[in-house]
Amino acid sequence: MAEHTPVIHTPLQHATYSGAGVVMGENLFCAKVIVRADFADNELVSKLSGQIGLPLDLEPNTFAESDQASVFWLGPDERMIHSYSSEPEVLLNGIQHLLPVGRSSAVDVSDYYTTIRIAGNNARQVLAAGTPFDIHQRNFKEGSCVQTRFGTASVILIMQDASPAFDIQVRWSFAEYVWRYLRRVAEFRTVEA
Amino acid sequence: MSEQTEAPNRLAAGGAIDRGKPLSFTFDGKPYRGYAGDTLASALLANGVVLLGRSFKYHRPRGLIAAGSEEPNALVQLENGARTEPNTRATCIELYDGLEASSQNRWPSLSFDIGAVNSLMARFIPAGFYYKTFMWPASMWLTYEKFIRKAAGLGVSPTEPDPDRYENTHAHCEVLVVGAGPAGIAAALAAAEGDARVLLIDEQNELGGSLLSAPADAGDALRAWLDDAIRKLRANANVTILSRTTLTGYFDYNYLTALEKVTDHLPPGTDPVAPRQRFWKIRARQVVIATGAIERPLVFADNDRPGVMLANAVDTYINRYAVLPGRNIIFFTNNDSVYRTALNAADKGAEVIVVDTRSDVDRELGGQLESAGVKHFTGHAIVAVKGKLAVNAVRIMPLSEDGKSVAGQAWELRCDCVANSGGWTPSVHLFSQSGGKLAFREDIAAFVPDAKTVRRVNPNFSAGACNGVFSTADCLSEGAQAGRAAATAAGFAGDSIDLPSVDGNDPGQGAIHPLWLVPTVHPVGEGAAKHFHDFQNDVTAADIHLAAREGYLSVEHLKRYTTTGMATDQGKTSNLNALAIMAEIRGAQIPEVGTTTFRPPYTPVTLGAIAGQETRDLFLQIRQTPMHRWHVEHNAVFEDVGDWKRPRYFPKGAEDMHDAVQRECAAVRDRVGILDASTLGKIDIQGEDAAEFLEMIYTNGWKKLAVGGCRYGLMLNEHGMIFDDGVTSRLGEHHFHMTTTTGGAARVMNWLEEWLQTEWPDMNVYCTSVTEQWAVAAINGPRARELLAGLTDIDLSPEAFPFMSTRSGRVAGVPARVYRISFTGELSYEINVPARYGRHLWDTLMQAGEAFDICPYGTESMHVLRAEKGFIIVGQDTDGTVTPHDVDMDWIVSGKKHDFIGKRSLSRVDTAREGRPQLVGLLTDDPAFVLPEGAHIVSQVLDKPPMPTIGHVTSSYISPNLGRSIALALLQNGKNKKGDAVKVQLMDGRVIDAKVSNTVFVDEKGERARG
Repeated sequence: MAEHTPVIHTPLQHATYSGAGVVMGENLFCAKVIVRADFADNELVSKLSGQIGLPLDLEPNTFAESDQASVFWLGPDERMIHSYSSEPEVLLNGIQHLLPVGRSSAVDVSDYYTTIRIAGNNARQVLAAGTPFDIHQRNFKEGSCVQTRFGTASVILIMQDASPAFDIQVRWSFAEYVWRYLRRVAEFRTVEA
Repeated sequence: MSEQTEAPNRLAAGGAIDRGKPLSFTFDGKPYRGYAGDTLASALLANGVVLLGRSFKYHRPRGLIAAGSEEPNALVQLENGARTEPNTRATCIELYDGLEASSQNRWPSLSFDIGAVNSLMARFIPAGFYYKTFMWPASMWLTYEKFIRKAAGLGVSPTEPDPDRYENTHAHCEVLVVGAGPAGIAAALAAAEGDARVLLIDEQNELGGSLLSAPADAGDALRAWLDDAIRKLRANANVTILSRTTLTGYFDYNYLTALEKVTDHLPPGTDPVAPRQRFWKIRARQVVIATGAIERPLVFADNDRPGVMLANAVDTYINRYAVLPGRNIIFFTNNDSVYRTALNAADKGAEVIVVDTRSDVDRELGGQLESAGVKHFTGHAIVAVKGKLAVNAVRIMPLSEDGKSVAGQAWELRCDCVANSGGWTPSVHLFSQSGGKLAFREDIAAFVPDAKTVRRVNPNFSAGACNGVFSTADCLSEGAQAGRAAATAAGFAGDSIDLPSVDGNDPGQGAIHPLWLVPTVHPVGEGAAKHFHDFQNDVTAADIHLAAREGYLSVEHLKRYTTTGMATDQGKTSNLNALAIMAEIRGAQIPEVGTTTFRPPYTPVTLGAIAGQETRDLFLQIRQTPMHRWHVEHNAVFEDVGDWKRPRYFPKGAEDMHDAVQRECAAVRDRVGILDASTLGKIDIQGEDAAEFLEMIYTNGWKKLAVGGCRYGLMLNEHGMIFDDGVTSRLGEHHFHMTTTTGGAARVMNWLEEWLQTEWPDMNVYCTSVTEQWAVAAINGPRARELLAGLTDIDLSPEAFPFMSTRSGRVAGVPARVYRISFTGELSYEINVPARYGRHLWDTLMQAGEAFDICPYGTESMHVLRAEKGFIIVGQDTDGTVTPHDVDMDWIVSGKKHDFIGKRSLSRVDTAREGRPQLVGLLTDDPAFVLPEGAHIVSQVLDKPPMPTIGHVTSSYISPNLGRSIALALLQNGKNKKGDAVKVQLMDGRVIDAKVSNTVFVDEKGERARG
């Protein structure tokens, strides 16, 4: 077997865009695992929280983050965990061995999603063109996340900070469609708006 | 530039126009001048242009009737070429420099129009004419249609693609206020006091509503309050104001749509950034409807002559646009609201006469006219309007006591404008769209929203003139109250606000005396005169009489029979008059006749705005695999599969599809081919009940599948029909990896979740979509093993890695899971790697494959290769009516399992019977002939279709490996017809002979894939 140097590609090849009052870019790849389990089980939650270093008993549609990781509430029995320091297999194995066998699941979705960061004064307006979800700061604060749609793509919308900056987690195959959509509605705006 | 002479009807001073910004425009090619702040209507009127178009049916000359969006007549063709837009209301077009407009529905010219002969022919094209041509004789419709199509429709649609850009967006608010007149402004202010998010929408370019048309000297306190209110609203971060925006539709759960005309007031194409229009989709907790009222015309003889207008339009043209519509103006009314306007017109230098149908008019009003030297006729009616292309006189006569006839001294009064008012009709369109019911108020002779009938799902408040409240003071206080109530209901207690004094500028409509149909010397419908109530659809009082005579008494029948209130107008000026006239004919009360349903949109919405940004490449999502760019770089011809772009074939040089597919198919059977299979749906299934779950989902058994084993499965729906298929592999005791068809992935995922969540919530099973997690390269062909062997640490020997099993390891230096499954019937490995390595894997395989002359192939070759093996494609060889038995796959239906989805349906009489359409192979007698897919197999060849059909071709190709055509077909009782000759009827009339065969054409024993 010959030696190979794997080349990594991303759906958007780390595209960036700046103008029209928004700054957009594709975030660096990170490890992502979806965990399905009974999060009413305090013992399990405390073990997992210890492993990740973040609380897993989150309010619906919120997330917690540290330098190392993020945890997103996706459903009563569903969390997504991002790790910025571990390889996908390491993250997956670390979680898997804590889970009750046969009554849970942990799935590597590191490559399933990519993340587009959109920030700037017009970011909220640009997002509002594609999503029917109410993303007004009153309803969608720092620390909020929600599964909704953008255009025709299913996305996970994340309110990163109040500057404002949002993350859009989108499936690999839809990434370019969502990117072009964001660009088109951004370009209806001027920087000052 | 020389000094321009002022337009003839323009007043020397006043108005909200900017005389420092003159603008040039053309109408029917003739140049005119107006000012910034003008509408096309006001600018034309200023220039003395009163003839603006021809009517829909009779081609009668028509001019302006109104000054706002209720205008039924003045529909013009705006601009030329790709940007041309028909049927735009001249009253709603803000004038810009260089504007080009033209009149519609006239030929050869506006003042001489051939179609006007329809007016003389009116007795042969009565109401219900179109309806009758539909009904009888049916054979004549094709003849009528050509003429009706040509005559129908007013303007012309552009033939070029729309060069403008549009946006579509969403908004959320606690309180939506529709209309920024006194009531709406007060409502918005009050609602915003409690910190609610307020969205204020108004169709005009400035806020103020009716106040924009008030005389300059009217109510300083009111104007100051308005300016202050607008300033406060603009300064409030919780308030969004959308001007030039029309609320077009009110739907359930307080979902409303609005059209914002972002740049329509600018010369086309001059704003390089903003979209031309923006379509808003609004979710509001509470809605305040403050849409005002529309003045309704009196229905009198020849009331459609150019120059006959609504009285409040005259008021608006004078006060807002500094245009005096005539030198000799007759005001014709049944209520008080015109008196102020009459005095105003007289003050501006017009000769004014007021004709009031009431014999008892408020003495003070009469006195005011007298002191201004205005002639006043009471108890009189206009019985004729003279002048054809423009009014030049009216004839008036005393009205009888009951208002049903005229008698006595007739007067002929010279005039160039008739300003009439039949009272005010609250704009209840949105309330009606929201599902609320209307109540009739005798005192104002109009329908108003019945607040008791507000639907629970559409909480709203009506305030101001749209609620039947006509005095400004009352509109302000009711608006403030509604705004406060709406905010409170939304959980944001509103507060009281300061309201201005409206001293003495608050006339209202006074004591209205309805006169729904103004009599003349002839009974209605006799003589040449026409009493129009619906100007846009060209419907007259005589048509209502005809409808009544023919039995169309119900209001809904009346509407459809006469077309009253239809189309873009939605009965703004016509509805109530029509109902009232019908009520009089029937001897009924108006509420007994009822109202029709008002439908969205309130005014027309451009299709471009509805599409918004979702055009061209954003019309539908385009999904791409990690290898997509390689395919583009290598000349792939793409095919849409589900939402995906998949390479259909990779032509070399000048190859067409046929040549490319023949080459690709041969390469797979002879050497090795490579296919991007990343699009297949993939679902990770885990949990202790996963195997049990699959037993229910698929028709075959899963419990005994060994870890590392793969199995093909068929999914049925409850009806026993094939729903999806794919290979599912066991990765662990409680862990499976399911694959689905490309197009079926989302459907299957929903299906699994639905069963888990609604039927088997106790099962410990978790499904996670992983379609995009894995990039998949399938290598197929006799040399696939050799190719892969050089790139992996997985033991590929047939003993260690047999057919229908999966192994993980490293391929091309990256973690991989390899499935030894085959859709081509060849030795195949489907190599799955994390998507980030997809392109790397592909490049590595292509490079290593050079030694084997590897051939990338697309979906077309894949279809041929699988058809050679008789493998079905769900959705192509099945259509939702096909059972496993029908495709000769009984082997996959377990007889041992106690249940699976669809099991019970397989024993239904119809699904279990013999002779159903069944999948067979077809071999044409002429081996070179490829049957078209969809071609019918007939039991008997007749001279012409229809012929008795016994089946159809589902898949058909030239098989390079057999050197002849092959086809699959669903044929009645096909299983028992193997070897029989059949006839296939083609669209072009040819009949093709073929033999029924097995479905497997190549390697019947399946040895190649197992090797």
